[in-house]
Amino acid sequence: MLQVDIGSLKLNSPFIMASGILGVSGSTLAKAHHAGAGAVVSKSLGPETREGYMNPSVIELFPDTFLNAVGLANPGIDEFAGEVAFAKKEGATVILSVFGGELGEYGEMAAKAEEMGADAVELNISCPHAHVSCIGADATLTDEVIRIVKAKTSLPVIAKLNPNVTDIVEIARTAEKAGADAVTAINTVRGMAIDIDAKCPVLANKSGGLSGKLLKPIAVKVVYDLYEALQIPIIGCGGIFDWRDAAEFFLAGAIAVEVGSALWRGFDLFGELANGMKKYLKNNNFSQLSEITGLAHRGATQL
Amino acid sequence: MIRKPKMVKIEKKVEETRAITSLYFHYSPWGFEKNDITPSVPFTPGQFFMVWVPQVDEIPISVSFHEPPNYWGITIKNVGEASGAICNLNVGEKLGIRGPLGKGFTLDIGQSIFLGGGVGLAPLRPAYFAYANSSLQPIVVNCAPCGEDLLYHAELEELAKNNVIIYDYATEDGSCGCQGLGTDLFRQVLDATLPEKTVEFAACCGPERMIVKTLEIVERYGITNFQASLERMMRCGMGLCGLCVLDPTGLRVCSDGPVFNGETLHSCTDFGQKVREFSGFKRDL
Repeated sequence: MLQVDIGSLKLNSPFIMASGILGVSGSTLAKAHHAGAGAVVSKSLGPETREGYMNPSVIELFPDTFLNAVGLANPGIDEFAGEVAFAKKEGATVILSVFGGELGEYGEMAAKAEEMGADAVELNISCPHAHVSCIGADATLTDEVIRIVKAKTSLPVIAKLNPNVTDIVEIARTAEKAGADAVTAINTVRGMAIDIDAKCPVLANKSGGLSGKLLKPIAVKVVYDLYEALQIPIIGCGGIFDWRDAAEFFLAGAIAVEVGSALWRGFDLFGELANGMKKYLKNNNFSQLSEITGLAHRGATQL
Repeated sequence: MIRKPKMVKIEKKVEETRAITSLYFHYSPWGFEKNDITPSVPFTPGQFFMVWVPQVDEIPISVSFHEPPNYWGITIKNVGEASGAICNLNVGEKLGIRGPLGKGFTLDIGQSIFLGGGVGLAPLRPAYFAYANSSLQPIVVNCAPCGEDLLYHAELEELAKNNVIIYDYATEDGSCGCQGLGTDLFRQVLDATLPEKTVEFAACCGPERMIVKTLEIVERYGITNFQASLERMMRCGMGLCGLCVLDPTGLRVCSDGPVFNGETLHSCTDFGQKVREFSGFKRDL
């Protein structure tokens, strides 16, 4: 009922663990898989060890809404091979999130991801508090990086889109033309919190990316717009805390969704999402999730 | 509770040892402010705060004192830039607090024994204080490299004098109390106690190798309820970033812990062996 295909990637569940959340170890990737995640996205990996930004790097602004500037901290892709192997051995479908300094490095990272047994790559061209966001903010660079990566790997390539742009639809169309197999919409929205007593930004990096509940209406709108412009699958992402949130994304046009911030509560969420969606489909007389993809574009259903 | 730092004013500072300092302040997390009453924030001994010094860093520090509804103490050892900056703060100065975070000790109503190594005694302090109004006298075993490093020593002697606790202590150089390791003294205390009493609950915090050794000892003595507080690098402190995860269980020290029982510790191959650096790079402990 909930099976989805993202290009050649076949998932048993449309609920994916988003990048940056808990994906620093194979054990958590495996844990999300065992909890029912259809796929798991690793923390973004680059060519070498990166410390990232100092703390505070993650804070909560409102209940279930977070601001973070981790700064692409990662042990380096080579160091991560063992973690991928562990997650694969446990049966997880692993999407490796990758980034590079130069565009060419994205290709090298994707080739390494394929070598270490990943099932797909998600290109982080959108982290709002790091240099890579400029790629996802520029149609020419987006086109170039996707072509480079496609030439280096046969894995499905997913572009994670940057919402901090004037026209995200234009960037997404470019990604599609360049050969992206799917897009993830959206990465976090740029933001800042200032402590009025300390009289300075709270995050060590000053600015960061907003995630969690408050992101949902922004993300749903992006997915809705992309659905009208793209042929390739859209993976929705932003503020999904229960199956109702997920249903909004499916109705807007997403064929799968990534969940991140909500996982602070624990991994049981994956089971709850699947059960809730199955009930919703049944109650509305649908037999497959794909039947509701983009349904919101047809106007209100007769009740 | 919203887990955003809140600036609080330091009201009391105690220089506990050469390197260890306690700071006391009033604090209610965001989302807990009321005009008429001060609601008591739920707290379990063993929980921690993320402590922020603006322009410097934010690090996890155990809560070492709590007087409901909202008076708190933290105890920090000066081991680096961030902890040094916190130790150097004075009464009237401010620091940012986020929490309390994590899962603390599940205290047993029976006879308990606590082993603290160095600043590791800090998270145990609210736990043995919790027994103060009961007829049970918890046994507190304190250890440090030398007498000048024994945390809360005068306070513990006073508590022992008033029969609130039973207090034993050791120093590696023998300058105060027994000469030797805390774990050796812990074993001796168990030898002396167990013929007469059943010890229901043992708790430990300190260097991780000491915790490993303590777990071996309690198992040898048949004490099944063992809990220990672990330390790992943290960013979010609320189960989101995954930096503090213990392999291969995927348990998060910040939110599934920092207190874990013996059985859980056995299931973590990282326990006593591996830690992650701030980048996520895994290295030997």
